[in-house]
Amino acid sequence: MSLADLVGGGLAFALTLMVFSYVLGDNPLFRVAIHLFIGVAAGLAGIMTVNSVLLPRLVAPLLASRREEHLLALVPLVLGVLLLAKLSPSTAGWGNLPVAYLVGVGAAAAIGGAVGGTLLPQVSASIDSFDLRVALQRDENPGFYLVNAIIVAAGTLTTLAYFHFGARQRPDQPPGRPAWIEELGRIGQVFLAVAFGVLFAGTISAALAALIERLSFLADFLRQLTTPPVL
Amino acid sequence: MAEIRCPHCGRPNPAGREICRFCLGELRPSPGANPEGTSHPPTAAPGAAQGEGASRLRPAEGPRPEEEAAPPPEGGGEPQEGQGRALPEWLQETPAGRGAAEKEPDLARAELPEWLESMRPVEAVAPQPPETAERLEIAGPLAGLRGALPAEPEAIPLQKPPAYSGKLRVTAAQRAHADLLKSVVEEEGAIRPVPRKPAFSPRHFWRWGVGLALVLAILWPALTGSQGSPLPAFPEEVAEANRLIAELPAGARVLLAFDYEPGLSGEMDAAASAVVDHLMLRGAYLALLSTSPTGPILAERFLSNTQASHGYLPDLQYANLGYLPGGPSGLASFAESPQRALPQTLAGSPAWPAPGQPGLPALQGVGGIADFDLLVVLVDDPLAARAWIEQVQPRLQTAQGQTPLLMVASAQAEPLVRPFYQSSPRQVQGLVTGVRGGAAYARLTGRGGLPVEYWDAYSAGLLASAGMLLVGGLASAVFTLLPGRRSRGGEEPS
Repeated sequence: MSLADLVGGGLAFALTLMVFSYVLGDNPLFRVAIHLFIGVAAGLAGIMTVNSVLLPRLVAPLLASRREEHLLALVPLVLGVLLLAKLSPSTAGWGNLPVAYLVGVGAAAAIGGAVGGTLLPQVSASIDSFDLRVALQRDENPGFYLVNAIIVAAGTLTTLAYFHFGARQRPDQPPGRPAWIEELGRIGQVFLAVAFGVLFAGTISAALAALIERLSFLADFLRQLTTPPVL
Repeated sequence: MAEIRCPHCGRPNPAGREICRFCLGELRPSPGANPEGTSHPPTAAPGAAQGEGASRLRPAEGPRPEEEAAPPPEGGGEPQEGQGRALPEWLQETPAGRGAAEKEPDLARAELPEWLESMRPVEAVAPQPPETAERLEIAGPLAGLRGALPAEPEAIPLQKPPAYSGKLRVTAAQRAHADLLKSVVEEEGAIRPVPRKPAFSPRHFWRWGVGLALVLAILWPALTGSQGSPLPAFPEEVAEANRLIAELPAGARVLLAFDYEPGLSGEMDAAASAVVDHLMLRGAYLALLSTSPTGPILAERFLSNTQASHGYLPDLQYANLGYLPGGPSGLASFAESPQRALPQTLAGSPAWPAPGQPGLPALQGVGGIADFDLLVVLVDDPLAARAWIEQVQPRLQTAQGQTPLLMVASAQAEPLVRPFYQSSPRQVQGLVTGVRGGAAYARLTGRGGLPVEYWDAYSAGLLASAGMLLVGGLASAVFTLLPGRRSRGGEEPS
């Protein structure tokens, strides 16, 4: 084990134990470790942004000899400087242009992608799930395939019914949803509970894997420390 | 001596005069006047306003002719106020007093010479404005003026405004709610000492117990040396992923995206190590990128920690293209033109082939995103997975075919990624999720690695977690169903 490995490993060992100390309750060691992680992550993100974005895409074109690159680099430069105007309330209005550009492009990409990449394909898939020819192509049991399609459709409809909040006026009663939507919403609650349970199980599983990795690291580090070096 | 009576003041003037010596009014008879000289001033209809000229010419003092002729009050009753009473001496000096004195029949009127009369000041004999019904302003900026329009029409009778009670009529329940709200608001502003938490409470013991149970369960296989848990059976999506990699041609170009955070690197490394190991076994050239700033560093760490045995060299067998900024917009830009979105490697060297430079081997023959032979995304966030599927996957279809998209996802992202695999046609052609998926993939390839090392501890930890959840749920149900607890409205057990 080299000196760098020893120092790095020892630091990682100590920080891991400091994070694990949270099992005893909130304490200064845990807070120091968390603050250190946040600071290191922010510093790394800043360095990565400078090295991967600003230098190659803004500074390098400005220093290049070609005039076209200069002109093209002026656009992000001006927008970036205008975005800095948001730092002061008196000049914040100048920053509206780059913010509008960012929001507009981001919204267009997100909405277009969501409609064309998720909404329409998933609706189409829900409809096609009743097509038994797909089950035969995939060598699946058509009965199970159909039952699965019915469950998916029922879950989709009842969950949508649960999130229907339109109410009607009723004589001598407070406004409320129609009774049939109320019943469908109750069934949708069951599907929602199952979905949240699955998500929770996935989160526990991911955290368990992270715990195993850290315990494995601690054990390996101690083993390396206690193992005499091979001459 | 002939006299002529003034038509305005009714007093006798010598004949031949044109102006009354008392009131300076014209003595000429107006058209329609009494030819006998005893002209009366025109009388207006009762209640009607008199003309301005008439009122100006009428003398202020002295009775009107008709007033002089008015009979005394009948019945010999008490005289009206101001009538029949002797004026005091000082009052007789006033013009009104003089008027009263002029009524005295014994007093002879003084005859003034004309030169003296002409010297009389006009104001002394000018008629005073008559007392009319016009109101006199006694206050404000118009004080002293007559005839000003009143601020309020007098025709409108003033009445007292109705009195409303200032007491709020509330019911007892409303009063109770208001008092409750008031007490809540007042308590918010009150400074209360923070209760000192006990150093050791049942909650602490529960936390230590859960942590200790998990650690013991994870360490149990290592402590006992038991390797009893068989590797999981490979599900269909893992088999599909394995088939896609196995069918890659020699020297295939594979785009490998590291889109996960350092906090989940333990799970993601285990899930992806078998897949990347298979790719390297196939001799694929790898192009690495990430939409997370920490992703490029994680990629280098992953290759050095888990795939060091393959001896892949940077810029030869793999090219780290670095950080792709912009989120979904950046992905769309990369799918449109990879060369423009990521022109350089993480080290800053030119990555793509161009006139005068050969480019890196991992990117040879790659003009667009669909020119890659396979796209593998390592992702821990369902939103990031959706961004790849929405922005990049539609551009993987070309006339020559479709570049398959394979996802290695965290277990917490699996429920939201799986529908894209199960849809028809599939938007994700292969799926490996979590440690379980990685272990299943390792079972398919017959190689070891992180998922195999973790599998026993992972199984024991999952079993312990499920057992604690089950016991906790049962205990909660028992506490809830106990009669004493139920009667208290479902209070939390302390």
